[in-house]
Amino acid sequence: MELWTVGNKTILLLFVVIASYFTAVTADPWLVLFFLMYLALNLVLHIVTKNTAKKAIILAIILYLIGCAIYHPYFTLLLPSSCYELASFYTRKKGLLLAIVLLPVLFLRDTMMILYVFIAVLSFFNYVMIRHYMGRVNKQEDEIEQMRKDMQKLAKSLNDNQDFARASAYMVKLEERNRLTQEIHDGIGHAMTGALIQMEAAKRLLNSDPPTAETLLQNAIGISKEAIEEIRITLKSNKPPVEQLGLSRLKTAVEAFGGKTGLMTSVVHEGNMEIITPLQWKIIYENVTEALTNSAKYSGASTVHVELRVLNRLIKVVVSDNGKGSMKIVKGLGLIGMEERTAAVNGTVIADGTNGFSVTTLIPYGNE
Amino acid sequence: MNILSIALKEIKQDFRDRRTLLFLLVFPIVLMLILGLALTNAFSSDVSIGDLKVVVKDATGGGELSQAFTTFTKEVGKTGVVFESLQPGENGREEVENNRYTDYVELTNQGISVYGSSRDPIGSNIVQGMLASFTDKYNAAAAVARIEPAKTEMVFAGGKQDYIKELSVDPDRTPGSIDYYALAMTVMVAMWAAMPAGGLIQREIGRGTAVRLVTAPVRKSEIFIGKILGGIVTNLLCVIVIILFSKYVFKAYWGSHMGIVLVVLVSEVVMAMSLGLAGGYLLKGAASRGIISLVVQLMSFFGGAYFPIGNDSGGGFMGFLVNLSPIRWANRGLTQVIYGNDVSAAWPVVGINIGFAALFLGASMIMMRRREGL
Amino acid sequence: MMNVLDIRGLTKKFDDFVAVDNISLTIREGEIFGFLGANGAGKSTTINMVSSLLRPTSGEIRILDKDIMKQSRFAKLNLGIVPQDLAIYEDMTAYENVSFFAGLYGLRGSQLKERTLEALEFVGLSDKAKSFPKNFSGGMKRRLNIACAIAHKPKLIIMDEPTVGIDPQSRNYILTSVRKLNESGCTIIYTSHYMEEVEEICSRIAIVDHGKIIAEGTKEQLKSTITDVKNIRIELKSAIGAEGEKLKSIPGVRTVHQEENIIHVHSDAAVDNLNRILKQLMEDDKEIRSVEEQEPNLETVFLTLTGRNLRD
Repeated sequence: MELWTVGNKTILLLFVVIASYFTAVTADPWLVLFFLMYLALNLVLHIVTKNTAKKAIILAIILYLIGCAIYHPYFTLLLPSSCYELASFYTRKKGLLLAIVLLPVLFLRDTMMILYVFIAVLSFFNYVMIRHYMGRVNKQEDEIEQMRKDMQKLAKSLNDNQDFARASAYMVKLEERNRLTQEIHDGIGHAMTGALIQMEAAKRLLNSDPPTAETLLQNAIGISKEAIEEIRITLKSNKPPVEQLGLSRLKTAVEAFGGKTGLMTSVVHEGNMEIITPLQWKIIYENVTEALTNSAKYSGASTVHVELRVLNRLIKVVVSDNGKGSMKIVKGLGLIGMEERTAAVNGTVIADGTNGFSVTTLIPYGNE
Repeated sequence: MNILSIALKEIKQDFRDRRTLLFLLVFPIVLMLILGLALTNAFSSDVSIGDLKVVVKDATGGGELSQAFTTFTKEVGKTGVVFESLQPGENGREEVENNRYTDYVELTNQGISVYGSSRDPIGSNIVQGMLASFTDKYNAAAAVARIEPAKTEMVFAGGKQDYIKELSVDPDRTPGSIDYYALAMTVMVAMWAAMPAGGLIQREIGRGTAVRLVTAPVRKSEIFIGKILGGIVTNLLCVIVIILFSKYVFKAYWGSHMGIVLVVLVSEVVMAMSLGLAGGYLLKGAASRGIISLVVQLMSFFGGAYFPIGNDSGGGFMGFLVNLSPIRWANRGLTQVIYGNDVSAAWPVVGINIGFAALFLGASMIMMRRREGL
Repeated sequence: MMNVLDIRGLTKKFDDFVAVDNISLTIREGEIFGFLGANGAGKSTTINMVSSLLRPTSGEIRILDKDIMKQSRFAKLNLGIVPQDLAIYEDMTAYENVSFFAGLYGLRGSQLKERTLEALEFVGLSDKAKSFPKNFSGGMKRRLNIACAIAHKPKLIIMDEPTVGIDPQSRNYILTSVRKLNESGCTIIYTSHYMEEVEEICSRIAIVDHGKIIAEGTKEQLKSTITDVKNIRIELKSAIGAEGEKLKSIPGVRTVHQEENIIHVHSDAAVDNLNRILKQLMEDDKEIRSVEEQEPNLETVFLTLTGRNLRD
């Protein structure tokens, strides 16, 4: 910005110098002084850093120029650029600014007037364009900065998430192992030990007391049978039905979310939940969580409704809120993530903002 | 082929639109009649040859040229053109600038230089035309003199005629109000081509037919050129009708270089079309038509289509505005062609028009390429 | 069979707004392909890209296996567009309109004349050839709009809401014309707000919402995504209460439920068994007062999938 204005001002000054000083028949030393003063003031302007000081100096330059203009009209030509400089601190009303800058026209005549209008309008155009582009550059830099931050944040949370996921998966496994060990130890372990003791005794008594040995063996067989039954039960009780896992997990998550954010939540489901595969559950779960988070963040809604329906060839999950919605949906990372996840199982995600905000996940299933 | 069929379609549509005809034909003719009759007095007294005063500086110190020139001045003097010698101490150019004389003629051994006044273009043109004619004669005489000195007299003897007749300027013929408006209206109508041109593409979009044009296997440039071509033909036909009407019904004077006049008008129509088109692209939407017609009306006004404005002196803000109007350029050029018999005056106008046309067309082409659809 | 239209990963963005979101679609020769979607769903944007009115942000469109960007002339020659808004010149006669547009497709001389008359004949405007569309009714204008698109005999015709705002008679005429065009070998893309129209004439349908195709297939396939059950309600003149029992053995019937003289049958939607059910009842000398078959229609499919009515 500064380079531009300096360039513009230099060109203007050169023009004025040539037009006023060199075309005059006799050289006027006063003019030289005035020009040098002007230059000096401008240099000072670019040296100081404080905005108030800058404004004061620009004001001084303007007043100085008006003074000089009484001596030689060509000085008015230098006015517009300083006015624009001053204006760049304040007004955004360009029309008004142009009108003010054009005020001196009232005092000018003939060629001076045309020249002044020309220069005023030209530098006005320059000023507007520069401001426009500078505004853009600034905005873009801000955006880039923001994006860089976002990226860092995302990368970090990705890392964290991966670590966390790894750690928690490991923890779950350990716990599970622990529990299974305990169960085996408590139930089957004891039974097997009992059976073993009886069998050892039976072995000793095999020759001396066959009937007792037989009873002991029968006992051992009974215990073993029970143990096998227990193993079966243990295995069965340890393998929960998938749909129970999925739906209850989903419900719990939604309720927990409601508790955390104070939003009213409801979950409705319809159709045969059993056909939903674990992978589909995972996607449903993640999409719902993501959609809930979005609702809490942006919508200003008071209730969120989750609907899960298994249709004939399609699973439909809708998360809808009663918030302000949005007529124009701009896809954020969240929405894109949902889309990508869902695309992995040939599904689609529709976001609709016309009536509150709703995110619908459609996943096809079954053989077509 | 596609270009032609699109052009043909345009012409057909234009001529079916009664408003176009009313606007481009009836309105100018009626205006010509009304203004021509109402403002009769504004003209004939203003520009009469009797007022032409020319100041002459003879730097040859006598000699053939000087003699021939004296003969010429005597001859021309009968028609009311006054030649006066430059008084010592006077500056010929300043005299003209101060409007004391119509022209300043300087005779030197190198030839004749003329400084015309831009304040009285018609008068100045007439004098220049006469002088041009004189020099032609003189050159001929000089050439004859070199070969057969005896016959020199004959050239000048034959030249004892009305120099002005030779220039095809009837001495009684001053541009009357009808003549002025015939020219001004025609030039204005040519410029009006800009107005429909602004809506050329917009109209197709409004009708929904742009969709069909774009989806047809026709290049955008073909659509573009076809439409412009159609517009040019329509407007030119209107212009020709107005010329013929004014010439034969109103008996307006169109000079003897009809071809050249038409060339100038064609170039103006092309320029106007391109201006309108570029404006239509640049401003988009409904506002474009309003703005273009405003600009054209301003041009018409400042160009002197409704009544002659200012003069060509170029002084002041008004003169500046006046000289911005393409209608003014064309008017001036054509006046010179028609009344000054000066064909060469047409070429700069044609050049400027074609130049601007190329500029505007180029700009529209670029905008068109960038845009989706039409 | 040849693919008349092939769309791969088509996307169109207007600034940040994604109007068409990664659509892929194949239309085969001889189909009448219906595009269903609410206003702003991305139908028109897709169609405009296919007809090269808009440039895709990304993705590929092929007509008759040729890329429309690279071989645009070929694509355009084989494409006929019936735009949603009337695209005719009011100040040119019906004949001139058709002839002008057909001329842009390279038709000349006697062939042009022949095809123009043929097209006008096809839409039933032969006797109005010399009249100006100014004096036409809405339906006639719509028909002329179609004539302008078919004179050059395109392989693929895109009809964007061709029946908007016209009387039922003209509407029927247009639907019949669409079928006739299809029979004569044209592949047709048809968009409409009217479900019944789409259901009636389209061989395959895509439901578009928020720039995406959310379901695609024949109408049976679409309906079956929602449910595979149909309800049949039969009202008998008089009943003793056990008439329904016999119906359970008919193929496709899942449950039968009777309330006095009204029998509700739930059946596989895919099995066409209404006749057998009625026959069974008649064999038992039952007098039937009324029969109602409730099948899911496209409207319900759309409502279920998008949660909104098409005409919201």
